[in-house]
Amino acid sequence: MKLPENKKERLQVFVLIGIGVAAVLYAMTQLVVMPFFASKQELRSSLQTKKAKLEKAERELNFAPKIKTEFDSVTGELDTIIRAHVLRPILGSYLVGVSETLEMQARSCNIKLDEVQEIGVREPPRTGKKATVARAFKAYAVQVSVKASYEQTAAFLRKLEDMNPYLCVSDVRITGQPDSPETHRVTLRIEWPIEVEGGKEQGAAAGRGDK
Amino acid sequence: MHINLILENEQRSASPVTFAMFIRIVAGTLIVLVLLGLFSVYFSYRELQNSVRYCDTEWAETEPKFLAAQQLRQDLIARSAKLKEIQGWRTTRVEWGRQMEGVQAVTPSLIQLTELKVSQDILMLSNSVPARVFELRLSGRTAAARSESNVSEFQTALFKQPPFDTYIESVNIPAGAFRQDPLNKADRVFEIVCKYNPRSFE
Repeated sequence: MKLPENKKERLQVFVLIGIGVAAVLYAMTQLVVMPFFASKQELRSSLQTKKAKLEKAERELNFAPKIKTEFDSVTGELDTIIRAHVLRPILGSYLVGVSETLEMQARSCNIKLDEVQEIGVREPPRTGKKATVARAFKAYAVQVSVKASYEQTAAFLRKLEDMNPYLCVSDVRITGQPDSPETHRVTLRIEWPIEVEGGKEQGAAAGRGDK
Repeated sequence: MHINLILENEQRSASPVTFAMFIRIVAGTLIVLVLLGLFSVYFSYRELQNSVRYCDTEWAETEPKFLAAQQLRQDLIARSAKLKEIQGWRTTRVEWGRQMEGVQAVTPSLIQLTELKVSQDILMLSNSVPARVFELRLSGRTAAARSESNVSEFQTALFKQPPFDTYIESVNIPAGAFRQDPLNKADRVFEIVCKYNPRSFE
């Protein structure tokens, strides 16, 4: 194809060619170049995110053996405490086990228990950030009445406290009896920790006698 | 005199590089450069795609291990909180067996105790942490002679001597609690209130 001889017509053809080339360049920029670079940018940022995730994972995995060791140690300690010192229900009742323990220790101190009365399950309060977090342990409390000397009572409490370092004597009342100065009326309130699973105590004592 | 024997449009350059050739070389070079640029962009794009694919493969292998490690960390936090909670039981209690033996040991021989009461409150400390607070209330009687010094000596012993010194915050005789025994005028009766330090659960 030959260009027109006329200078004006030739200029018009060049202008038209220019417009056409500009339109094609614009269309290519919009439809090919920009989406291509946008996609590349997206890929680059996606790569960065994935690399950061991998780095974080690697750091976590590097810590994992240490965490596993710590987890085993904490679990071991916790299981030992729970097995040895946290009260478990016997056929749904905490009172049976408690009475047996109290009677055994009382016998070794030559004390006869007058009464072991169940008070029930109590929960120490929680506030602040932990207010909504349920406790893992609650207190199972009983009231014990005996007639014993001061020394016998102290020895009885000491034996109970030595036997279980998590048991708490929360109330003591020793009143002298004018007619028998060696023997006193003793009332004790003793609390044992019990494990709570899913917000509920194990066994039938749960919810009974909450005060 | 200078005479042109050829017309102007018949004139040819003597240079081996013509203008048209120069334009062709420049155009050719430009096309080659553009093509190289396009290849380079394309290959860097492919490399990026491959890197992303490699990361995806690696993540697919790492993710289960990472999630397990994170779960382990969460479990450790939960277990540690539980352990701390049960340890709180141990640290908040007062061993009353030993305290009672201590009371017996420091009671002056001229004082007869008539009643011992221990009570516990659970209070919130200023940092919103619950704490056990124990109170030991002792009632007794003593002969009127030297009664004041006997009771005072007892009060000091309760405050300063082991096993009380590390536990007790204050030892007070409430107003009017040291008085004449209504049953035996030759004796004095008294009450001593020992407030124990708050023992925080956490």
